Amino acid sequence: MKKGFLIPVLTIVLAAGLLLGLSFGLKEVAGANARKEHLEIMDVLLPGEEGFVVEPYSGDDANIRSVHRRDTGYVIETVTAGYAGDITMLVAVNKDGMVVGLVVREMGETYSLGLNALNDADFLAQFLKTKGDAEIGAGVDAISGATVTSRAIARCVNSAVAYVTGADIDTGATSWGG
Amino acid sequence: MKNKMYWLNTLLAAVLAVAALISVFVRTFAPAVIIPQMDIPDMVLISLAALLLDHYLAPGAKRCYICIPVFSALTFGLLPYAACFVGAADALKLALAGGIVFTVTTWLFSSVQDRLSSGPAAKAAPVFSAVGLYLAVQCFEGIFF
Repeated sequence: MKKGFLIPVLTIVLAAGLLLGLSFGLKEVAGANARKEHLEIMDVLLPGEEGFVVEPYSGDDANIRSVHRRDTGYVIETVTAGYAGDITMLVAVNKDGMVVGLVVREMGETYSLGLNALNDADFLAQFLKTKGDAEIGAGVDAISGATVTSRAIARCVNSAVAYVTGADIDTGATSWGG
Repeated sequence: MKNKMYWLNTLLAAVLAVAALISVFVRTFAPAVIIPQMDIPDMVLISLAALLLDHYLAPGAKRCYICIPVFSALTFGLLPYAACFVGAADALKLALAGGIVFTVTTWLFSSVQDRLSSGPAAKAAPVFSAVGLYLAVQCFEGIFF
């Protein structure tokens, strides 16, 4: 009885030790790979000559997490609440305040419904060339069965544009294109 | 079957450890891949995987409903923390949620399992029951959380 009781305890302790060691051992490699991959994605979303510069954000828009500027525009990282947890996106906006690229980076939406936003090119393409006026049901069709997720993505895109155009007047945003 | 009483929690730790191990490698070498955050459906998925393994490896094993929440809370709290997926505060929340989720899932699955016919034609029945439970959890998640 006592011996059996120890088996799950030992399994948990051994597994935790293995994971802890592996996580710390791979920490630097993981960090370097993540930074490289982040830059590669931003480069695809918003091609340009110069490198990206992180611009401090001091505004009140809770959807904006970070801002990356380059000669051709901005890539803005946004986070907003979806149907099941937060949705993190990268939205590229050019100097004219027009969306030129977007990608969903993290989400925990429902399988086969909201999670389709990750790779539903037809849905995501509707936001391209919008200028802060993306609205579900008014020019942008929601993903079938995932209206909450679709609205969250529209909020992210509009927040990013508002930052660049200066429509987000409380943020101290640049007046580029505004 | 008393000696197999603790297999369920051992299998839960093993399943979660394998999932966490894969996630650590994916996070390190394929950072573009989106790793799902540990939420109620994921907990249920891992719990059901452990329950299915337990069903086939230790059929008819007795349940210790005092040990199950304690060990599962330890598993769901400690392993994601050790893999650096969550901080200490979130690990405590995961431990609490994991303990409850695994105990409830075990009770539900065991109730279904007890009522399944045990003939040769019903060998896959636990798998279909687990799939049904998982789909039900996904539907209810959006209502309550």
